[in-house]
Amino acid sequence: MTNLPTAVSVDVPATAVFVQVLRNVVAGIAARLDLPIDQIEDIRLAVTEAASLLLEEGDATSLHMSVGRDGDTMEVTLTSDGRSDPWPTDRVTASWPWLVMQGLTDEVRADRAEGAGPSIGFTKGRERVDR
Amino acid sequence: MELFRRLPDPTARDALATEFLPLAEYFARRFSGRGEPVDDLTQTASLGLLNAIDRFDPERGVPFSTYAAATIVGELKRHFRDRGWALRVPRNVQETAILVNRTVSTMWQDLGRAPTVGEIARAADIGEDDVLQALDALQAYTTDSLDAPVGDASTTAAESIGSVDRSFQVSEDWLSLAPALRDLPERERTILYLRFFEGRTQTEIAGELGISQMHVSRLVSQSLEKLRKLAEEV
Repeated sequence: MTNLPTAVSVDVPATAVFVQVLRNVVAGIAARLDLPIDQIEDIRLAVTEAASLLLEEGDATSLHMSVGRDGDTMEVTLTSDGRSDPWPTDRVTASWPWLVMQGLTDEVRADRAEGAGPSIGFTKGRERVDR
Repeated sequence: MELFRRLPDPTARDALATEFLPLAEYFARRFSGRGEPVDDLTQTASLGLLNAIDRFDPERGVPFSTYAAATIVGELKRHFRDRGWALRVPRNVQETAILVNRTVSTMWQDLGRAPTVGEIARAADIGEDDVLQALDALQAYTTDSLDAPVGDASTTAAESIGSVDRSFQVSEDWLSLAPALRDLPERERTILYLRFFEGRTQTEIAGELGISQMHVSRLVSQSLEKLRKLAEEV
């Protein structure tokens, strides 16, 4: 695996067009971590769903994505500069995108750090395959 | 053709060389950007052209331009080989996508899991960025033909998915999560249901529907994309 010493992060405008950029960034990093292509696609789809939930809040102007690695596990967090409070609402955790993220990743969480906007993060470990 | 009858008349040879020089220059440019000066490449390509003129046999029925192109490319490849360059023939995105698609299918079967981008790049002898670009293009723009035969059987993907539909009851709870699911074709809805509501893995779904894992992966991506577009229209 390529060494990923610190988290890679990127800020984009909070529009659907730039979600594509986030998808490509996360796929590029996952590829460099030698993840198999089906798991890369899962991560890419999960980023899309997370971004769509944050964009639905409507008041965000920028999206921040950070991608880190802990051993064989990739950690991705998306944060918007929106003001949604409380966060996450039941509507978010009972939504279709949330269900999809749970199906694609190991663990999904939504929280809101002090002084920061709403965020959605997930982890995805390399699946071991018996050969 | 008249000129060829006058060979080995030196003036006929010169006339042909002049006429087809642009062809040599074209291939020299196509092989440029790999660390060799364009002038050297043009010279090599011109040598290839002269060889082609000397060896061409009009009786064989192959157009001279075809024969010359092959000889010029051969000469350029030899030029790179002599200098120890691993020469990669330029490919366009579509050709790369087809190559990557084929490579992934084979490797997925051989490895019993999805290959990594690095593995695909090494097997197909292309760059990792090319692989990523091709995968992106494949996920986004190609819809696997559901009428394509599955494996060695004569059943099509559409038929094998239909066989699951008979025992498949869509839960109303599930549809209420994403109303646009109702507008998806039934087979795509089935795959999304199995993947996200029943929590089945891609491998399990592939086995159940008798299609490749790659096909399942692609159908999941495409139906999620379609679903999002449908939801936006509501």
